[in-house]
Amino acid sequence: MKNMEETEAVYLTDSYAKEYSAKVKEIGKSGDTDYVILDKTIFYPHGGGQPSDKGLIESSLGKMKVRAVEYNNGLIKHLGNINGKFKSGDAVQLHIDWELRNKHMQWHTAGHLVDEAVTELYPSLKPRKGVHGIGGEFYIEYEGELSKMVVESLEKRVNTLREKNLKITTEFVTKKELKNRSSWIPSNLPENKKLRVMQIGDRKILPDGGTQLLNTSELGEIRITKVTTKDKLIQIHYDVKILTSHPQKQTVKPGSKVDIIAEIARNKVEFSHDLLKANKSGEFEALKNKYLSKKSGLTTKLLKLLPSLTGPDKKQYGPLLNELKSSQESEIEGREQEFQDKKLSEHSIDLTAKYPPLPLGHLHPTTEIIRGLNEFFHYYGYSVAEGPEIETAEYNFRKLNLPEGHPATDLQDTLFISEPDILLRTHTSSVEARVLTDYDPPIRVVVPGKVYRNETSNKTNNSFFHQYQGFVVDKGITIQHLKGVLELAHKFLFGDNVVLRFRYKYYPEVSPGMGVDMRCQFCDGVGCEVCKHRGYIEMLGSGMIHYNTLLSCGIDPEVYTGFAFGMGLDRFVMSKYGVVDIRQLYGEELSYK
Amino acid sequence: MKVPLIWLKDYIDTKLSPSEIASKFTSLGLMLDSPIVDDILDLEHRMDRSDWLSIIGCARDLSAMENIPLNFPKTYIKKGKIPKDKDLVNIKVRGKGVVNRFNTRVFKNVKVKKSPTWLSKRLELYGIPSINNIVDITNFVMVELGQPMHAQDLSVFKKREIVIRQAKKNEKITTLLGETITLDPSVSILTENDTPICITGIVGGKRTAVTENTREIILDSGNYNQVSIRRSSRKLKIQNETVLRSDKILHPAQNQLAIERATYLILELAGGEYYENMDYFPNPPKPINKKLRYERIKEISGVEINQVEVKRILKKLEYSIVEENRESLTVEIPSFRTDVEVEDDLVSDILRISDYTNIPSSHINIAPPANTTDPIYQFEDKLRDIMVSLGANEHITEPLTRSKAKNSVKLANSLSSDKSTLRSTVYETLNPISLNYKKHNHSIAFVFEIGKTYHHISDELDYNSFQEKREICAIYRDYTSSLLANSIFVRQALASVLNQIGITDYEVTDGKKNGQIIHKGDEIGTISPNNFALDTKKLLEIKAFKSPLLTGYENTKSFDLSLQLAKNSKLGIIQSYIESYSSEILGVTLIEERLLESDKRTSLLRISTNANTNSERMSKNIADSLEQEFKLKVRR
Repeated sequence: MKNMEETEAVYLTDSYAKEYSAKVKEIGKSGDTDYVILDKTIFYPHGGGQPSDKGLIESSLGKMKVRAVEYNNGLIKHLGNINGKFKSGDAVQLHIDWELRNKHMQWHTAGHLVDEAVTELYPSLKPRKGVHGIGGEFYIEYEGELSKMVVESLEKRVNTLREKNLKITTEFVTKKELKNRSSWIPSNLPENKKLRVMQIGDRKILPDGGTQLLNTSELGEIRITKVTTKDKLIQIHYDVKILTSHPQKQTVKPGSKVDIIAEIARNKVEFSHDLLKANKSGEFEALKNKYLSKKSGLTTKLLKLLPSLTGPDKKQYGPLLNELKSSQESEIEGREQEFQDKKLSEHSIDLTAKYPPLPLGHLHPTTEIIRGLNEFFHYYGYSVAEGPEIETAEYNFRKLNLPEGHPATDLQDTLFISEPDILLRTHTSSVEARVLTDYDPPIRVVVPGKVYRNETSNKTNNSFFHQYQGFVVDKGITIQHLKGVLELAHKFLFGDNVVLRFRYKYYPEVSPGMGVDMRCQFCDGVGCEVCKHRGYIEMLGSGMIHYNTLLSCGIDPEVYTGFAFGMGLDRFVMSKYGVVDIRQLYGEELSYK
Repeated sequence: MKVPLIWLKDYIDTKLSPSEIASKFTSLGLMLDSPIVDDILDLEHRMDRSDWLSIIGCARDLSAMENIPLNFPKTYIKKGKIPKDKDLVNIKVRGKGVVNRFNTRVFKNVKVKKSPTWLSKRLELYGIPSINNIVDITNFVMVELGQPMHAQDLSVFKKREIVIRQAKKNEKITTLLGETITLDPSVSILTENDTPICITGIVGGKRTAVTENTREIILDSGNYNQVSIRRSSRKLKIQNETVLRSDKILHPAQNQLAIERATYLILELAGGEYYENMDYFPNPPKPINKKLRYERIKEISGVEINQVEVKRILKKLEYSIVEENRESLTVEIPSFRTDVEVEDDLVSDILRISDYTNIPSSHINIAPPANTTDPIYQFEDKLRDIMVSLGANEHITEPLTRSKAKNSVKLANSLSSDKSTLRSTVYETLNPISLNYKKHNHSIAFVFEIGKTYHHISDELDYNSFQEKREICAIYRDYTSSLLANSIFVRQALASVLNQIGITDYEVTDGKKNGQIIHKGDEIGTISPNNFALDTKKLLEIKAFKSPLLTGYENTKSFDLSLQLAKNSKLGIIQSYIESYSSEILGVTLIEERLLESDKRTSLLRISTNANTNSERMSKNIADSLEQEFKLKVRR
């Protein structure tokens, strides 16, 4: 072979090209067979596991039926017998046997898909080679050891991948780049040449010189036919249900019996190919015309077949075709939009210009705080309970160890609906009394709620406010558990640096009672206006649930013990949200930015 | 209560600084009410411990915590002379239930004069002005021991007799402070010769007050029903040092102690001689014993406290041990500890004196019980999120209002007429907020609240006559657009909320004032052009799960119908009519509403159908039927 320029392998960049123009560079004979070398070709030469293409080369003076194609050092030889005459420099027209090529492509891509599934399921296997139709064989060969291979699950995985409609892309890279991006490199690759690689979806790239489909959706069902093992070589054989393609010229006549499924598949293949190529503004319109024009669109024509179909077929193919039509519409529009956007972003959109936010709503600050606390306590196994706001003295006072006229009733000026028995609850402890009465231990509950007092409103006190209560009743509960949960809760609310002080404090419904103060975060305990010079801020009241409270709620205090704690929420909400007047928080003056 | 440290140190010898003492009291259960000034601690009042309203009570707890001796004040326990019959002041108590004990002594030939400095200074530091030695002694003993006392000038008595009885209607008394008070039968009083001389347990009268000229006095120390004293003092609006103590639970054994202490001081500072007089004490209470199991201390606190220490603490707090074994102690509760009810109160004392700071903290390591949260709670939270995503701001409003609704719940003792009832709709209290948004320069107010409404459903006042319902109310006011535009937004918001919880089959019927939102024949809420309200409990019952995902290709098409109808015709009925016209119809969407100047309006409806539907025929059939059934025209 003389020093000649390499043949440009058009099939590497466009595997869907069926016809092409080229120039003859050399003609020769080997034995009885003629060969032709062209400047470029769409004929795929035997190799990489894929058989060579067949087809026709013709010029005004001669033609050759191509029987085989060979690759040799960058030159591609088309073999056959010339009928008429070719000479160097002749312009020739190339036609490949598309039906055959299309099969080769499906076999080849299917083989790679099988490989993807194998690599996924059996990562220890090292691929050696693939045979995609040469000698009528279809298999991938691996090196490695395998105790067992479940064919069903492999087959299932392959077809799942196939149904994902993965895009198949090809590009040229250097060997160095390939090394970085690929998991497997055959040993015999040339160093200084750009290499063609393929990629299925977003998986690892693979060196490949074959003709590949554009999308796995163009594949029919793949079956794993057998798995053979010899020494350390494993061959996985496969088969793919070939989707036949019809030359574009063939028109479908209404009424004629056609394989609609095949038609749809073919339409899809061609469409995705065309769509990929469209990248000029006018081409989108042309694409719409080609497939969707009312008169002669390819997809429209398929749709026009519908009325001629019988009932069950109509039911089956109707939705399929309608979906095809609208997906093509939206895909063309999508691509066009993408194209437009790309054009636009090349002109400048000034993204530095800021806009005001969209008008979303806000939750009330108290709701936000309650949610935070609920979430915290839910993590520790607490449920949320609610109860009536119109309460009886029984649940609001008596069950909580507060007999009528007891001095401690002074702590809560009550709003009555009907004195002395029906009132607005003065604290969320009424819900505690209800839960303890209605449920058997173990009990772990928090109560966020509205409470009412007969108080004249001012900046810090209102007749209406919120409390947050929590209580636990179980075997073996001690004041240590109460201290533990209160420490966690305060850290949750105020950060890890909180310092708490626990001291005795009387509350009627608990004994022993416990007051909890937090070291003032404004003065670090030195004393300031905020903490009224105490150095500490009173946070909440708590204690072990009173023996009599458990008793009056029907829980045996000799078997179960429990703790309870309760805090006013509003002061906390106000300090967090910068509200200085509680009346604003729940009144007409509250507004949002 | 104010505790001058100089007074406190009469009973305990402590080297602690004022702030250290304050910190000890905090741990014991008495926080400072205000900063320390002039070595006076201002300790908060605790409602259960009547002994903490005495200096000695505070000193006792501190001595137990610090483990230092408590020096009890001197008393005069010798019995007084027996008076001649004519000198005896007769004590009569009419009626039962108010007076538990009324202990008295008579002093003759006392010299009423200025108090010595140590006495007047302590009282003044506490905050009681010094009057004369006799009056000062009664006040001093009250603050020292916590038991109110009262001395009267016997020479102004017309009869040597005190009758304690209910006041008569409109009976009057002028108090020590010169204030004249009109009484009523709910108030108990002391009378002399049928004239009020003192309001029982509350305040003394001016007429029998001890003055410089007084030579003979009657000293009393009473124990009264605390509930009745509370009621009377609240009713008469009298609050003073006496009431502060006698409306707490005092023990009648304290009366004798107070009398003995006062006797000592009177003899020391005013001289004279004293006579026993009547002690009305019909039912002396028996001492109360309480058992304390050492194990219980551990059950409550998780810590084991050494038995020797337990006993030391109890003894320092003046519990006396009547029985003991390895597992438990039985103690007699000191009379001044009227707060002790249960064994755990003894545990409290032990833990309190040992200081809570010394109890470690730990975490529950038992598996949590099953979640019992009512589904409505999470559901309402979901509704909040839906509303916020629509752009609405949440508000929480005070349910106390001035409601005019017929079934509203009225308060018996409201402080103001503005807050005299509970709302019967959320709208009542939320609406003022929406109106206020304009003031805050918002052109649009879109607010909502999820809360309760309150209903008085019968004329009865029993508990079951009151009902609470749960409601979500949303209000939308766009001040820049028409009422129609506002109402379109409200209807869309309503549809969105319901759609989000899987409810699409609802309709709105015409109510008196508002539209009623109906689901399968049941009213679930109301709607008006600017707001809607929904019963959240009903929503929870009927909500359904509908996947928002489009899983298959829906092959549909649609056609539009343009209707011209009378202003007062109801499009909702027409929409429902079309929806059920044929099974091929998948939905009816209102695209546009327009009010025309005449009494007409137009509406554009989009009707979506199966792809196979013959739109032209269907459209014509519907148009024909509509024109036949309703008063309207379809634009063809």
